Amino acid sequence: MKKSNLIIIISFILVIAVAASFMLFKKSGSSDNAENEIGTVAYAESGEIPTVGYGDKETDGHKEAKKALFESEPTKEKNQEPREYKTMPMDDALFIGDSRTVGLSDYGKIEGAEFFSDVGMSVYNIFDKNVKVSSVGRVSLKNLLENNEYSKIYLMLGINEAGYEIAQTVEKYEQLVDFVKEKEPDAKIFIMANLHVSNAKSSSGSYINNKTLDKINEGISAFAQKDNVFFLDVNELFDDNNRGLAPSKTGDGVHLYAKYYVEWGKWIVDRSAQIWEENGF
Amino acid sequence: MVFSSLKFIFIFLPVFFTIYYAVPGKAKNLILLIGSLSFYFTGAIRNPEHLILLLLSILLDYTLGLLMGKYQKHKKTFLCIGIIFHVLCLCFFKYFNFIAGELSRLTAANVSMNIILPLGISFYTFQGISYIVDVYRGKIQAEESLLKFSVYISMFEQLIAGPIVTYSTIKPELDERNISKEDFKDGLGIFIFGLGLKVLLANPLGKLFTQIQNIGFESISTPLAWMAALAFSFQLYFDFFGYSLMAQGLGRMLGFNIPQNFNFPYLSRSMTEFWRRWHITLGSWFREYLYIPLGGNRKGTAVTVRNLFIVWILTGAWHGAGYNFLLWGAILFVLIAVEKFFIGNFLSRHGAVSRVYMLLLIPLSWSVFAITDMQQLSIFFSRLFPFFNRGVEPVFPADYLKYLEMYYPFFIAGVLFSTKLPFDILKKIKNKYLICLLLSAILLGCVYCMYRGLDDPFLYFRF
Repeated sequence: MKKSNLIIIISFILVIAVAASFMLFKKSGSSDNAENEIGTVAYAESGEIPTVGYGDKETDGHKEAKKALFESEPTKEKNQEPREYKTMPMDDALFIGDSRTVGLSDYGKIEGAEFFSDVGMSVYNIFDKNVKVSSVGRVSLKNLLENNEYSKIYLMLGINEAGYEIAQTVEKYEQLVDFVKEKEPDAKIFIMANLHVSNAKSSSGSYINNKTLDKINEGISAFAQKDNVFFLDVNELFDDNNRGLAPSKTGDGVHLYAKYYVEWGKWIVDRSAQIWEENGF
Repeated sequence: MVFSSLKFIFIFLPVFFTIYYAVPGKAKNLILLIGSLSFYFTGAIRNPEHLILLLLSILLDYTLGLLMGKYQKHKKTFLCIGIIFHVLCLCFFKYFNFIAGELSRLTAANVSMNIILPLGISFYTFQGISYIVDVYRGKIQAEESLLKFSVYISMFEQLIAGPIVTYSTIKPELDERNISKEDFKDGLGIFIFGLGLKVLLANPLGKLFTQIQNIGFESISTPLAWMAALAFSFQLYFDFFGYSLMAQGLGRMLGFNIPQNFNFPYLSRSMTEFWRRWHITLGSWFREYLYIPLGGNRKGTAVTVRNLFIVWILTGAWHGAGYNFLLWGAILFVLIAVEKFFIGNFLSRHGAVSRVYMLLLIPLSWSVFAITDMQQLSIFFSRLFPFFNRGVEPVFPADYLKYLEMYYPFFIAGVLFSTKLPFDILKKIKNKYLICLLLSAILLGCVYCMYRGLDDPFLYFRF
């Protein structure tokens, strides 16, 4: 055998031995967590995405295997019994929020309501944004509130702030609430809890996780102690038994499928109507 | 690590090529092998057994090639061993999860194991099979140098996503290659151009398709459904074409002539022509190593139809494990058979009809490829053709206008870069400084997008 071939074979054997050691170390190590096993999600978090996967395309079989690793118990979704929702006029309502509020605006069928919402909206940039509001045109939040009157204002922000320090985010949120109260003193303000993400998304190692969202929600729920401020938590509608967004209701673990926004819209109107009744507004 | 990543562009490439160009010609293969295995290992670091599989495949094919040369009487046995090994590996890694899932579903038995697909297995197994078959046929002599053979299988520019290169194509350059300044310059330019197609065009359009998937097909309007089909068609083409160009560019920089893999497939006038222009090396592989050995079209109509069926079903299966891929392969078989026996001549004589024919078939066939859930596929087609399902109204009728406003520049660019026009213009530019400026702008744009994560259709930094 040629010397060069022998050297290559020995090198290969060494590499195989090193790789095998790596395998054994990986299996016995405590860092063997689920997301490291799954190429696609881990790649996503590192910003490295393989090509579309042409020829090695991930299939539903792979996805199901992923789900099995992420969820230690089979995901059970709550039984959704059909319910009757109360209604009330919403043509004096304003929704302020991020991409999930954009979804509500496109698919929620909340007739008459206005939406000041945009992808990437957060308490850190809301005062700098000019957003297209359907009956008004492109406008800042300040101008919108100063020139229009709303009796119901809904706020849902928090997911884009999940990478920031929670106390700072809650403080900024409170400043926003006070600003809205100052501009619209007669309006009832509804702080909406951040929708959970799926447990798969939450476990993926990103800063977008349900623990952080719950902490933000806990912080902002305290504002309901102020006059005419209320807290609504829609997670009771869309969570599974593991307190994550039910996987069957989302494609990306973060946003609902469009068909569920209608239900969300009805739920918001129903809760608002209840609060209206209870408080004799 | 993938080509369109900051790590690859700013760390791997400069370090690797500095060493590669610094060493003398004889050492270049060794450096290329070390670099390629390192590249593969960074991608397979979470699954080191995949590197072991790659090395074992290389050793097996190399050994079988030598054995076939030495023991002519038993060469069929050695060939069978090699083919069976590769086919078994491919089937296990690619199809186990799917089969297990189906068994669990149908029998209520809990069959589960998470098998991670090794990077590039679909490509390097096909290269390995092509090598041992060519040795068996006497088309090539078995390679005696393990180093050269290892480089052939593992060279990083084509390891993960092709093109599928036959040994005879690359052999002269494995033995000796000269890399001129022109090779480096042209190769780098082709690499950057391919990067631009992937990052600046394919990925944004991929993001649109993902957004529409996340809306849920039952809720989209018909125009938006067609936009989704077009978006995926463009994404798949520019992603893969871009990647193939990057492979070609890197090949030039390394001193290899990697074969062309795409030849403006969206200008085709029939599905038959399309598959001579799309993933050319895969089509060649199936023709050379499956269709022709089965008899091709030389044994009568019935055998020809059988052979076409086998080739296209396996083409579908090669692309993925799922019923939709088999369906996609079956659809391609029907179209190609119908063209071959009935309408091929008509299409070639009627340009306008053939263009409309392909304008419909390309996005429709890719839709079957894209959507792996059969129920979702059915819903999607009901949105594409709403008159078949009593006209279900979308929740947001103007949804297509919203996304058209966001994505129309990418659609325009997609149409443009599907034609020869921009490439012809680029070739005519003689001014070196202008080309340099263009390529720099593309590279800067790509780096910006990669840094911001804007290139990533799956990653939501903003919600």
